[in-house]
Amino acid sequence: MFSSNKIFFPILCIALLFSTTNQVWSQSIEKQTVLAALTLNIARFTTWPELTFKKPESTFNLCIYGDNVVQQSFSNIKDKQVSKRSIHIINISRLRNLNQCQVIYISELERNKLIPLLLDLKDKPILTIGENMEFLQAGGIVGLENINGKIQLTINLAIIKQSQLVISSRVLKLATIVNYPIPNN
Amino acid sequence: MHIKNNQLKLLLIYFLSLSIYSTNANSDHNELIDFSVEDLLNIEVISVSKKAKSLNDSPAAIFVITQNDINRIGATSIPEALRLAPGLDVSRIDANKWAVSARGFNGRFSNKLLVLIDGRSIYTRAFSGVYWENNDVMLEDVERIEVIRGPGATLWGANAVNGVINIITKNSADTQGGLLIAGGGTEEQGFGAFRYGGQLNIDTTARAYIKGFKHDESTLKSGGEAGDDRDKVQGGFRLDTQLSTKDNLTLQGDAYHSHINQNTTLPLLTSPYQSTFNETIDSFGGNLLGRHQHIYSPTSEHTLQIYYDFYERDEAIFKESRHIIDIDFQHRFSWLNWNDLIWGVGYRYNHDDFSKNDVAKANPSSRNDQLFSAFLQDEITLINDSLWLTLGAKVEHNDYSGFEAQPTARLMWIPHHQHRLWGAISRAVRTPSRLDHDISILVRTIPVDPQTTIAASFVGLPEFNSERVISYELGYRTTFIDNVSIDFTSFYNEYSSLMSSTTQALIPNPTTGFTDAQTTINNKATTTTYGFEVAAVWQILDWWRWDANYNLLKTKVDNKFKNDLSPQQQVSLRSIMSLKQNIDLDILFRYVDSSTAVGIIGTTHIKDYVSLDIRLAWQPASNLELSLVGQNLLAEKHLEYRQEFITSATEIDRGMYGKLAWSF
Repeated sequence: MFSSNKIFFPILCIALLFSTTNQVWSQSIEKQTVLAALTLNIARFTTWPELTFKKPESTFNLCIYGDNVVQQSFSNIKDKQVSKRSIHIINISRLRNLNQCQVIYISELERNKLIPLLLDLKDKPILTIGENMEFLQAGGIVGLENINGKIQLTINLAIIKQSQLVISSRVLKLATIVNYPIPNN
Repeated sequence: MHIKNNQLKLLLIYFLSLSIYSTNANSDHNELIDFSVEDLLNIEVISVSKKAKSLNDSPAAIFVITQNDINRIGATSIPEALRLAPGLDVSRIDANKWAVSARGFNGRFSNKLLVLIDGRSIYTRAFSGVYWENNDVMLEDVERIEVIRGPGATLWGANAVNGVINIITKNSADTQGGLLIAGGGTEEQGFGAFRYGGQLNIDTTARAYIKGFKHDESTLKSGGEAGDDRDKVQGGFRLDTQLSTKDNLTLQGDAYHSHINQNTTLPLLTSPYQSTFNETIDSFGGNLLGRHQHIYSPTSEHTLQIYYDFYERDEAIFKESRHIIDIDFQHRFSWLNWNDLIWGVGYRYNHDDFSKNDVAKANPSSRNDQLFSAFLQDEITLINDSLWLTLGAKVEHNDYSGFEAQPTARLMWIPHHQHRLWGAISRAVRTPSRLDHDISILVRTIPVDPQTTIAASFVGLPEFNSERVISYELGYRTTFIDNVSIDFTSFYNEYSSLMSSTTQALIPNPTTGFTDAQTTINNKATTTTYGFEVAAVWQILDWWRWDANYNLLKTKVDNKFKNDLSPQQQVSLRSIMSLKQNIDLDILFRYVDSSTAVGIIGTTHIKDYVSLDIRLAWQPASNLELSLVGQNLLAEKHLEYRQEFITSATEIDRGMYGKLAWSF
């Protein structure tokens, strides 16, 4: 065998040395938590067409495509309200029944699946939110991208116009506006 | 281990303070919701590795090795990367050969593990197994390696008895620009790779690569150089194009040429009846693959894949060449909103040629084989977002054992987003190989007296049938503690019609003048294996993660089953540290229990061993990485496995190398 001291002790020393220099990292907040809070806030500044909710007691359906880490971050907002309606979080792991959603949050999806998905949703009053520019280029509405430790908000105006949704100017003025039409052919 | 009391206390205090400290970061999340959009956009965010928190949703024992893992362990070959997966037995036979298996039955000719690179099977019909030394990829272009333990036959096909390894390379859109790799050291004497990716038009991206290496020889157990060094040059390309918003086409191919040296011992028909010599195996091959995917909707798509693969190996015992054409069609769709169906059909054509010599003969020396297959799998949603039942079966017809049916039933239950529970019952088969059916090998010639010489040979059996398993699995995954995830799988496998052998009575052979002692194979062995595997991940701090794996494997041995005994226990501990934002320190410690390797010459006992790999990397600029890697540091040399035939027991040497990776 080998002498454990020879290995453990240097590692411990190195770890102690660097643990102080790295502490500044943890003053910040986990990205996924901020993304969930942003999703809620942007939804609160968005108006859906009148016929979206069939009944007065209909819930506000926030659909999520993502792993358990993403799901957990959204579980923090499940007791909140949007447009005086209580939020119902739906995991759309199989990408089915999308018409029930008012918001679709897509954490990560291969590009070749993303394009047809967003093509299907283009005229529907569904606020689509993704995590990068590729999502907007594929026809998504809101992009929340982590750029050097801060979330940058980008809104695709071309798709918003087709979707009959109205996003408040208070949010629009904080966003970078782009115009990516739905990819055709 | 002798950690002194005060050191232990110090460690404990340190770890405790870290865990208290790391939970603090999560306490103020609820208040976040009342922040304005503007405030939220100004918050400093961190995105730590998701690995410690994310749980896989597959009802199977799956483990994913990412590009980051491969790089940070300093792996220079696919088998080295596979050492990160729990429950796999990855043993290095010598400088150029590997024995890789899951849940037992390891060997150079380990035949119960199916391996695919981008959907192309690298499992050869020659001996039912993988020539690991032939198959390589540009490791930097690998997106991930999925390691599935347990039967995967329904989706992947026959021979996925104890597992499937899926090596998936990146889309060429994700490998744009240049990458230059160069390095060298004591065992990895020199290696280099160059890849360049570009955009051909708005819808098309492509990349091409070339790589080469020279690996030093190892040391014989009996002392002295093993003469097993090798070199290889490999090149390849991948092109991805978007034909329309719903159609994708991928074309890819590789070609390689390798010189593999080995110290070969073969029997002779005349005195001195045995010869040991150094030979250079000339090994080359290539492949070309095309895949078209049409997407109807997010829940429906079809894929058509066609590939051609060939290889040739020229070694003293055999010269073998093999050509494969494979066509696969798969269609996935959603039905009635609670079924996800996937079905497919496949066809594979194999053409091979074997040389004949005094030692080994294939009869017939050339063969054309066909394989037809069809499968259907339905994932039924029993309770929305929480309970799924998957039923599936694959039926195939091969020219060796005829029809084979391989069904599976799997249940996945997600009672809460922090817990996953799954179970499965499956049947899988290992279909016969050319070696099993048609090949006879002269193992030894033993002069008894001047008139009598015994010729001991191993003879295949054309009636040899498939080996079968019924497998029961139960798994649980959880992240109930913050920043910790645990993946536990238990299994119980019942094998039947396993290969065993009988030695025939001595028969004088008037044509050769020898007395024949033939060992023939049959399907009479049965056995049971059971055990469990645990993979745990702990993100102790933003910049420090621990991965720990443990597996236990029990094999029932009786007079019906005499085979290699794989290590009963394996432990691996991995520390992944980012000391500063541009300095990484990674440590992999492994313990492998003792095992036995059964060969034609006899049984070799392999002692348990520990090994330690350390990698230190520095990124002076965002596109430049310099790293220093030490492998097998704890001993000057150690034995991991002994090949069944031809070569002597070879020990793996300690090694160091330095590497530069420059992207532009």
